[in-house]
Amino acid sequence: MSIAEATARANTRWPELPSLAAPIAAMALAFLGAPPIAVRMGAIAALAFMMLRDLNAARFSPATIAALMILTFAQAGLFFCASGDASPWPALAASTVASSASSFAARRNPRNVILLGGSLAIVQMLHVAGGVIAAIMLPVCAGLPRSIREAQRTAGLYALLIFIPAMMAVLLAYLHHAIGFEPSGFLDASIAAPAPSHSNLIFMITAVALCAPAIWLAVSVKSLRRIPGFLVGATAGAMTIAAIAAASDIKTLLAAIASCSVAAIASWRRAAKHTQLALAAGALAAIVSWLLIAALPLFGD
Amino acid sequence: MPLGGTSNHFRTSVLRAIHGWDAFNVTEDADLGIRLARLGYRAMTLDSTTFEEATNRIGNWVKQRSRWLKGYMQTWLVHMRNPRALFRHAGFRGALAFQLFIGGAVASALINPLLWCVFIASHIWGVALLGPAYGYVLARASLMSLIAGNTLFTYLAMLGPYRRGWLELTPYGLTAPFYWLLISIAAYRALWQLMTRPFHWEKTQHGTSNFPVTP
Repeated sequence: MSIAEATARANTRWPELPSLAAPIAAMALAFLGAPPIAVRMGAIAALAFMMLRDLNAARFSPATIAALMILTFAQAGLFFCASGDASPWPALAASTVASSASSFAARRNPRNVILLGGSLAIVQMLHVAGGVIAAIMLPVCAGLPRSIREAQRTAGLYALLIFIPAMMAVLLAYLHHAIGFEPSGFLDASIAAPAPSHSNLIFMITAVALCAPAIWLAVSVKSLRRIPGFLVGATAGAMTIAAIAAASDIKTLLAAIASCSVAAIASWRRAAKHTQLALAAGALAAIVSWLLIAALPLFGD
Repeated sequence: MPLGGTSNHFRTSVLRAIHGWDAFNVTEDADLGIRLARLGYRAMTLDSTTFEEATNRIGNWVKQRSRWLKGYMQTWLVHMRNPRALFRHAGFRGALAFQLFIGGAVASALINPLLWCVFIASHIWGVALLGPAYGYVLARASLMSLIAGNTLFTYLAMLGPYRRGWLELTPYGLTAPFYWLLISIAAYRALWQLMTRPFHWEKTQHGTSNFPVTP
């Protein structure tokens, strides 16, 4: 075998599963006019696929993945999504952004740049305040420059990351202007989403507590410490701000934050070696979610 | 594979066997790549980097590109003298790749400004250039093709420097549509030269960049 042939073979890798295929397929189902129940199940299946993919990439065993999936879907928000009391689209948006932001922080290769840009574009279709989420996540992911030389490099990264979301924003603005089309409203209508209950500002901010166990462990346990965990936390924060800005439904927000808790666990360094901590974080998040629902009247709802 | 001239390595015996290269073609490397393929030889890519000085003056750059495009036109004309033989020697895939890489590069550069003129006249000034046959669906499909094509090309131009770690060059990828305009100018210059001075070798002036080459 020649040197050239050896190089070509070394560069050949099996393609990874496409990360953005799941939310795109779920949206396609809605745009093709499938029945509401099929669209809802499609969105939940896409969400489950994203979570499975993240947990599998973190090299958890099949039994642990199954247990973590059960614990995640036992969380109040996702439970309401499955029962039809909340919209699964923001949860899918949060999962897409959190997963790609965490991958980008772990490895800044062109593939992850495209995925992050693509997810920030998709989130604008899935969530009415997707532009707010993209605007918050871009500086958090790209970071702030510390010198003139670094400023040029950071500007380059900003230009690259903002390109796809900006093109999507232009397209959505054109569609809205030309035919009055608004994708997130259409997607909610396609699953016959319930009308949002009145938003409670303090409760919405408190909802970030769902991510707290996974994020807290990532910060306090030295072996788990990793920047991707903070980016997942930032995604949860961005989702909360967007939900407040758009006066979204509380249960829907709980589902969105719940999907971030799985991404936070999957983003741990050598996550598979900390199975017990992962299961504890998942169980704690589930308990916190139902405690929050039980405490909802205390917030004045 | 239309070879580029910066870093090619050949077996001398092979070059002798095919009687060298066409000295009248101004992109003899591209022509050589096609002839090697037609004669059953294989070219491979080594995963390495060759640094060279890029032209940094527009006039110099247009001259260089017009020579390259004239060479591509010569290569296409030479090998398409007998299209059946080309398909027989290079196979369907090879002949198709030849049409896309050599013919397509020239055709797209020549057609690009015409399509921009049609777009500006019909979508911005509202002139019905092509009449009712140019229906709503075709007009929208053309518009989407224009936007998607330019978006993809611009994004790829931005991703390239990022892949090499040259982040500060990434924003220059946004100038890709203007790059295409210059390519078209070079293509029409090449077409004119092909008819008036087909074998004239327009030299590229080097040594004009102050930027140090750092591998």
